[in-house]
Amino acid sequence: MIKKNVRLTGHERTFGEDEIIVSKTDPKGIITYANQTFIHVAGYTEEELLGAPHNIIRHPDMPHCVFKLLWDNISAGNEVFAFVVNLCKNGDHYWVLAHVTPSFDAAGKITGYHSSRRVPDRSAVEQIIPIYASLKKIEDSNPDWRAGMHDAEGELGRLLESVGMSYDEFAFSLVQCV
Amino acid sequence: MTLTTKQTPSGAGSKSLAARVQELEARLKNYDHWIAQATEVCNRAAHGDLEARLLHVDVDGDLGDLMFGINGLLDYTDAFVREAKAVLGFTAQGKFFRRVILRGMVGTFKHAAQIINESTTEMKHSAAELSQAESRRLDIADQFEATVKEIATSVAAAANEIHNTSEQLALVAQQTASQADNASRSADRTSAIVIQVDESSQQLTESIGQVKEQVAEANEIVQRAVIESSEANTVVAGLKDSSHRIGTVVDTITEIAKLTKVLSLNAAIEAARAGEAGLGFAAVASEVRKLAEQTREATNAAREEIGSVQDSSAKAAKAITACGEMTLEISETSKSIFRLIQQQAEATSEIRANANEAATETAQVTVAINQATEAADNTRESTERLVTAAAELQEVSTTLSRSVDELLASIRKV
Repeated sequence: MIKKNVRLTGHERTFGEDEIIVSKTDPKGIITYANQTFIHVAGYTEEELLGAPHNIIRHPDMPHCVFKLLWDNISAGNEVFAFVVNLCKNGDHYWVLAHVTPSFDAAGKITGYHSSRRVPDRSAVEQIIPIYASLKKIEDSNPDWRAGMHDAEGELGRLLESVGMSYDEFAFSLVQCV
Repeated sequence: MTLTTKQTPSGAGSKSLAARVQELEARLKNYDHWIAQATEVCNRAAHGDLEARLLHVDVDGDLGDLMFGINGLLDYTDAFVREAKAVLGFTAQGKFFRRVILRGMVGTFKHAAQIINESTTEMKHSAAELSQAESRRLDIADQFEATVKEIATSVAAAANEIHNTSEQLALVAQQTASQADNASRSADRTSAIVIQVDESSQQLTESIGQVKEQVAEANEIVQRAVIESSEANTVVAGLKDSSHRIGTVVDTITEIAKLTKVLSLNAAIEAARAGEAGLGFAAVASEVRKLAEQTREATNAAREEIGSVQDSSAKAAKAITACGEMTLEISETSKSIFRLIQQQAEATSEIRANANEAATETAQVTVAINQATEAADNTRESTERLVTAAAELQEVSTTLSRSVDELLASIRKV
């Protein structure tokens, strides 16, 4: 996969405030739709994205525990807001405020997932960066990545407990653009 | 589907008409394909399926723009629907932190999103107020419960106390009735005695009246006796004078008889001297002497008689005097008796007055006792009702307590 050879440039891309990056996946996270903004910002072609796993754009700075939280939530049928840094094909990165929701069939069964991503406020990103860094550090300090992820998950739980908010509330509290 | 429609380069006049037709046919086929694809996606969307998109769009120009335009329309609509659904879902759970993120929302979507957010804010306030009201409701319920439980406990205690008190009251009423009955009998006896006293007093008064009359009569008789004894004294004194005068007369007669006897003796002597002739005369003289003798004898007897009359009259005078004195004593005694009787009459009158007063008092006591009996009866009846009421009160209190529990349970469950 292309991702393996990507070298981080440290260059941050951005997109318009009226634009939304849209992608759809099947229940396993395989991309089934990518809109023009996605294609444009991530730097991949539609052909490269369709059929690829969504973690094609996963940035190494993202803590595993955040994606675990995300998947736990959406596979349970709930929505998730998450500040995510994504990786472009050329090694650039871009921050998004991702709103991920399941799609249901008439019987209420999850048929796939939908993600619409907006440009986050810079102030929110500045608050998130050190949190993710500390979680990532916890994860990296454990040679067993699953155990590390579990530790970081505990840390995230304590953090939320200290501010007295659920994850949803916390994530949304950082959103300025409502 | 990899063909890309391309404008025929200008100046391709060398191309044959057939090639041009072929090219246009291919282009038309491609148009048909994408129009069909777009129609299907639009139809699915029109039926509420916002999942379909136009993929692998390999056409440029107007047709390409149309395809991406359809995708964009669906993307914004889809995103808006998901946002709105999420916000309303949270709101339905009473979580109001979630808002529609306005970023990326344009035009009508943005406007609708703003309205949803405003509504959410309103709902948040309402929910806060509701929560406060709920809290107040529960507080009120707690207070209400505490108050009512306290009241119910008090009522139950009061009912119990009423029950106990009314039982005591019933006992007291019974005792009162019994005592009133006794008192009533005593009063009846008292009343009977008072009547007897009154009757006796009346009889006594009548007796006293008779005694008074008799005493007065006796007094009158005594007065008459005094007068008569006085008259008797005068009569006796007259008798004494008369007998004295009779004695004087008798003395005179005795003198005359003596003289007569002397004269008769002288006549007898003369008759004897006259012999025969004098015989007749001598007989008369003898006769006269005999008469004189008889007169002397009769006079002596009269003197004796007069003496005894005088003795008797003296004795009578003495006796009459003693009788008068005794009569006066009797008069004094009867006066004392009269006074005593008078006093007794007054005392009796007083006794009667007292007896009457006692009778009146007793009558009043009887009335009072009857009232007391009636009151005791009323008390007993009231007490019975009270006992019933207390039992009902206890029942009501229990029911109230249960109802309050049910009410509070339903208040708190709401």
